[in-house]
Amino acid sequence: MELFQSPLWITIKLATISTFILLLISTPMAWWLSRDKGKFKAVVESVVAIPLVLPPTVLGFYLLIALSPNGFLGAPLEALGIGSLAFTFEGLLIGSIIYSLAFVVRPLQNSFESVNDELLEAAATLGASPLDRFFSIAVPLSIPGFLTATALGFAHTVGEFGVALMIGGNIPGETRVMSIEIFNLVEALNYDQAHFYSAGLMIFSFLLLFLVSMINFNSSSKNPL
Amino acid sequence: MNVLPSNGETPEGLYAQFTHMRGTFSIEATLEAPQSGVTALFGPSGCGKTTFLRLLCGVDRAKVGKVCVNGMWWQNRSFFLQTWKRPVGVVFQDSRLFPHLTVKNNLEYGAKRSFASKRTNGYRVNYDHTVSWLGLERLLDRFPNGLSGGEKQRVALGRAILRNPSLLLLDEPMASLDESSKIEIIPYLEELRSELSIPILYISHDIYEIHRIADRVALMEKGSLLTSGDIKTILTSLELPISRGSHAGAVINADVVEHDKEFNLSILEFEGGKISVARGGMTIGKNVKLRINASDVALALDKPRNTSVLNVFGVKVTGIVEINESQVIVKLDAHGVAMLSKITKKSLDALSIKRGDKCYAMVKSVALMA
Repeated sequence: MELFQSPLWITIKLATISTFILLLISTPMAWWLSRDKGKFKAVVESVVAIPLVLPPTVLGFYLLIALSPNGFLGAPLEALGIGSLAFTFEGLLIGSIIYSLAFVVRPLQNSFESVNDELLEAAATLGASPLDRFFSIAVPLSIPGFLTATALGFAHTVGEFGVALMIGGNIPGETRVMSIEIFNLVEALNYDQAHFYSAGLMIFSFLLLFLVSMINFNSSSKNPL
Repeated sequence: MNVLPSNGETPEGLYAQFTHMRGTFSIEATLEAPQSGVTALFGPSGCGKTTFLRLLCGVDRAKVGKVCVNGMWWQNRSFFLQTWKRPVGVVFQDSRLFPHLTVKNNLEYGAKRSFASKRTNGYRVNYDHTVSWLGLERLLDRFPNGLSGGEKQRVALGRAILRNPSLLLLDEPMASLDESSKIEIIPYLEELRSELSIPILYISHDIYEIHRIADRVALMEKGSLLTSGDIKTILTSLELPISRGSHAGAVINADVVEHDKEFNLSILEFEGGKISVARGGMTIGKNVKLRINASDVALALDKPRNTSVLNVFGVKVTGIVEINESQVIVKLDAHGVAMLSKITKKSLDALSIKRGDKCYAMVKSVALMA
């Protein structure tokens, strides 16, 4: 199999693009959650946290229905000529983003919450606009949060199985990621290959989580996560 | 007393008026300050001083308020300028330096975002001058976490000044410092009024700090501004509680005129006469500020002879007020300079002095402020 069709490559591509989009979505969301005190905040927090407790198959199932040619997302996409995203890489990407959202939003939110309002006030008295304050004060003080969010978002996307199976199917070169490939290999009794991939994922996950721990350890005094 | 100039005219210096509720606490205050000089906002903890400052710089928004600084409206009935658009410099009690930036970058944070000179009446601050004035050269590459309390406040002061503000606000900048750090920072605060020609508002509940740093005082109590005026007038005003408290006293200005080499004294002169202070070698011609505590001033009907007290002035009694069951404060006028004397009712009875009488004030000690 060609490299760009391989489950390894598809997994890396999926995790990289997911993490990137997740950071773009989660940063403003986490900032708002960290500063807002209204009731609506609890609603949004709960929605973001749903994938943490829901079986991935449930999420995958609803996404599949929504993205199918007659679904409430699929039908308009079809009409626009984009086509149904069920069993495509893009569909899988949407699933991954929803599935991993909490893993990126939470560490960012925790990090932003530890940014002192008083420093932001001081920045305002020194002429910094709200956006300027965010980029010049909040972001640099939340670097450990960004690193943790990136690592967890990436690792969690790599580790997903249920959503990938439901929404992506098992299409070689398109949606067949590592976790599904391992399932296929086991089904086919190809234990040697399964071992190879599984051990690889184990080591990779360990290294990422170890990195997260190190980041948190080094900044634990000012940035509890 | 404080009336906003009618239609069209904008007040000079600082003009601020707020009606604001914060929980059950309400602020109802009007403050005016001249175009330059240090005005102290003085009052007990919890009287609303910090809230007033927050309303003034726009961090909190008063529902009803008017703020005008050197002819530029920051807030009025229909208009509210966001904090970050106001040419204001604020020094907080807790310095609030940015921990991820070096001292240099902290200083430049405000400087980079500072206002063009046209918006600040042509006043411009010089970066190098400010850094050397505050003695920050050695600290530029360091991070705030490694600095002492006094160093942090010097950086915070520099950062606020380099913003090139048209109003400088200081919120108890020495309240969280230890004694040695206070001694380190106080000379800079005393020099502020000559360094900057903008209105400066200095919040404090420490009367001694205010004596040293301020020219004018605004008294605040339970969310209202009682009165404001020249520090010498306010401190010795018998109508105000400040003249009856345990720190009652007067501040006078005097010039160093000669030295008494034999006894190592400096002789100072003010309108009411000459004062000897037990410190030699002061620069002749220098104008200094002295504090005379009410409890250090004794009264005599005849010019005292054979006394250890060196400083005796002929004064006129201008007022007497009872401060408790056994003591009174007597307000004195020494050729136009007000002083206070705290004596017992028994002494008052023995001397039988009343308003308008002439007598002699014996000053047991004076404190040199600057």
